[in-house]
Amino acid sequence: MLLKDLRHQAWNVSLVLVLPLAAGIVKLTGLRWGDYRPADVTEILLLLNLLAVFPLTAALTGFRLVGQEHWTLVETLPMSRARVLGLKLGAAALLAALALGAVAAGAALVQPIPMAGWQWTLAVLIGLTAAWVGLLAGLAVGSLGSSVVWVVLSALAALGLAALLGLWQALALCLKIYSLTTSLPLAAVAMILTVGAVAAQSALRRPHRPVRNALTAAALMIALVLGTLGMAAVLVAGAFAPPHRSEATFLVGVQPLAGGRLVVDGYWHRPAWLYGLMDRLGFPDAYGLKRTVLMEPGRDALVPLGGLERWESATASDDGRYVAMLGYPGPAARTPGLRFAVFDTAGRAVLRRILQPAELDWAFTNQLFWRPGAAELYLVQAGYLRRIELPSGRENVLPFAAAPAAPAGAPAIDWQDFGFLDTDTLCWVRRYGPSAVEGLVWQPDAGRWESAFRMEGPAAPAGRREDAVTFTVMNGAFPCRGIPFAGATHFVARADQAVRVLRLEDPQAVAVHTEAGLLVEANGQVELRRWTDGQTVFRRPFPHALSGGVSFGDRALLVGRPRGGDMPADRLLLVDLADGRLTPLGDPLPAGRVYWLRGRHGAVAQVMLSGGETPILLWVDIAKGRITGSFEPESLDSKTVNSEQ
Amino acid sequence: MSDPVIAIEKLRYAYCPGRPVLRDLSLAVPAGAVMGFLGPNGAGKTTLMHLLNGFMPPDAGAARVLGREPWRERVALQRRLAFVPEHPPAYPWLTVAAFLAFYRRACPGWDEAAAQRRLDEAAIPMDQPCGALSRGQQGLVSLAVALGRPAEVLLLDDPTLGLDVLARRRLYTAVVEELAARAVTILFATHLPAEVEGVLTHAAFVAGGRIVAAGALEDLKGAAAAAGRSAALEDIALHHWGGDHAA
Repeated sequence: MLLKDLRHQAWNVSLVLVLPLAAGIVKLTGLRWGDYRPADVTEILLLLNLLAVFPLTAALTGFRLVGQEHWTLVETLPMSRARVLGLKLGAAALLAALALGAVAAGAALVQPIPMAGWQWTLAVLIGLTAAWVGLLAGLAVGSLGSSVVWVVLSALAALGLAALLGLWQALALCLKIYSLTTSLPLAAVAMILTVGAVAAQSALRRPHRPVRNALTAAALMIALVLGTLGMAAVLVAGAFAPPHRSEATFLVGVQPLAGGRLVVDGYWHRPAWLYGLMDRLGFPDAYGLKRTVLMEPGRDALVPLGGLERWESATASDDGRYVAMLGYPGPAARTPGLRFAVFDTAGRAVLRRILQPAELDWAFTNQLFWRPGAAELYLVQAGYLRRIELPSGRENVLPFAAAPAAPAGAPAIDWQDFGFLDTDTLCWVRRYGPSAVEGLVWQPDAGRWESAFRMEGPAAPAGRREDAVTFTVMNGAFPCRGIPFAGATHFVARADQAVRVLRLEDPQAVAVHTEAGLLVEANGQVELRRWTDGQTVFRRPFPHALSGGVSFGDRALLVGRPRGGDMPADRLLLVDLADGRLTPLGDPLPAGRVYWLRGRHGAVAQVMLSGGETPILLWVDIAKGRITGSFEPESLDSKTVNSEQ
Repeated sequence: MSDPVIAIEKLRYAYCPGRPVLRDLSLAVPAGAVMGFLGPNGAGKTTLMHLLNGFMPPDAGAARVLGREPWRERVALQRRLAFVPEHPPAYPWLTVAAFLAFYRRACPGWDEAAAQRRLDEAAIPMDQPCGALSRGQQGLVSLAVALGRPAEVLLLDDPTLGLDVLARRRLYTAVVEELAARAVTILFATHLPAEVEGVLTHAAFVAGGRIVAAGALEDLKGAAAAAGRSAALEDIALHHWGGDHAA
């Protein structure tokens, strides 16, 4: 019966190859259709094939197999109705898998669009469904042999074309994103649906009742199509969706946003055997899919940011209401290019762009930065700075060409960076090798860059120019690591309506940018140097090695490691910027971890403790001088600390 | 006396509520009998055949074939049953050879030689699609596959429709006699009593959905003669069907 059905209906599969063939001809001959270019026409044909021809072919095949059977003949065979219907449904699913495989293969051959990846996923899923139906049909009559034959046929239908075409990579990707924990219950539901439809068909089919039989056959096919395609669609959606609970992820980074939300970077765990299989297939991947999700402490619910994009950088706005992301397209993406998006704290994309690599200027350290205290984003692009206001999305450009020309005879720019000196002063620093550094400030009214400071290099370049001061600064202060130039590091700030530059020559020094001045740690002492005149405000003994700091108002939070000792413990320290008084905060931090300050929103600073079992985030209220909370991304365990530290 | 191979007790079936096709029909077909199930058009012959095949459950009453209830035990029963329907159900796109191969895989105990012999006798082209055959040839193919099955009971539902005289003669003589010789019990539904008179051992006359007379053919003929009526089967049938114009 199976051979009979396949012999009679297998030709239907060839229907879905017609449009890819037409698409190939369009592509080869460069045919246009009105304003549509050949690539557009090709894509339209392939989508039409997938969305219209394939479903109709599959449904028609199934309907013919089930609805137009010679039941008067079939029912005289020593076969149960369930087996007959199981065989027919299995054949329909088998042919559907073959047809979808042909659709995917046709698309992949004509136009290597990533869409083929999920088409293969669907084909695999339908093939699996065929295997399930066949297994049920075989087991229903106690024929294990039939079941085995069916599974083999299903595997061939679902995977055969991919194997022939060498599309293992797409298949491996399907396996990688295939969510077994989601799929098994859904597959069971689809099976129940199908078995129920078969039972109904068995019970209701009667000779001499053509209308009733046609209706039950149609209902059966609808159930099959809904069960199979619905399951496949949900499976694919489930497979592409990020895990909604934390235990399925390996979280590697976290950034706070407003309203207690966090942006979490992590990898999506897949079953260990899957990684083993991928290794054997030659696609080693020690990690799962990289995902960036939004979460709220205390609620074990993760909101994906975007689809399958691999976000490489996430930069939160100063007010924490938005996070700007830059990354690469996901495996199901149809258009190449870098992905740029801005999400709000609910995980909604308020801005989405596709950027070609040539559109960005990679000479800058950071492609994205925000204006302090405002929802105003700057994207460094080739030839200009794009300014985007949120949530309105209004934008304009700040062209690089609107800057003074480089000095005559100056070497090429070898280092440059953008940033805000305060909430209104956007600064662009350009270094011309060892000969000069120039600071420019954007004048919005005039629409041009104007020179704010300029430093000339020595006649003989310093040999240790790159031994710059180790420097940490947060919250939009600029530039992040100072300006390495002429054997020293230069720090820029705006104070008393003027742009000031402080120079640090000690290569061992560590500095923290504050509003009051530059906090410098060196030689066992910490001192604050005023921006206006560089004079020292205070100098205090400092028994720690400064590894980070952030300031708010007249206080700064420092992370320090005691000098000496085998395994020194890090400490959080508060320093009063008026007199340099140091106050340890909380207990010594656990050893064996790496600490850094992730940022500051208002008076609250976030301290990240990485390494060890799980990362931990601490919230420190600088103004109140206490730790106000902690968060463990792995366990989503959030605590609020009320006691004064 | 052994149990009847086919035992029907007060069988009732209606396609539409209130308009039953079979009304409390009762019948017993003894083992080895070639019984004619004789009724006019619309008497319920095909309905009975379908019920005996287990295509549908009866509304009331009971039917047992070889001791099995057709609707509930259809699969087991079909291993011992063969059916030639009124309309040959061959797959039109399959060649005769492929059609036979289909049955060979589907029916345990398939007798290829018996089926092939019948097709050879009728000179049916094996490489022709069944759909390209004439109605009569399709009927012969249908009959051939029925003969290939290891059946203990053969149900024939007006199988001579479309057959030429020669084919009908072959059916009535060679086939039925051959099967009868193999002790296959045959229930032969037809509305043409004259054509089957020579091969029947028993007859049952159905009218209005009920059996109005049934028994061994000799007994029926004897009863007709005793009543002063014609003992020809067609005349007996006309008498029982209510259209008695015979003497």
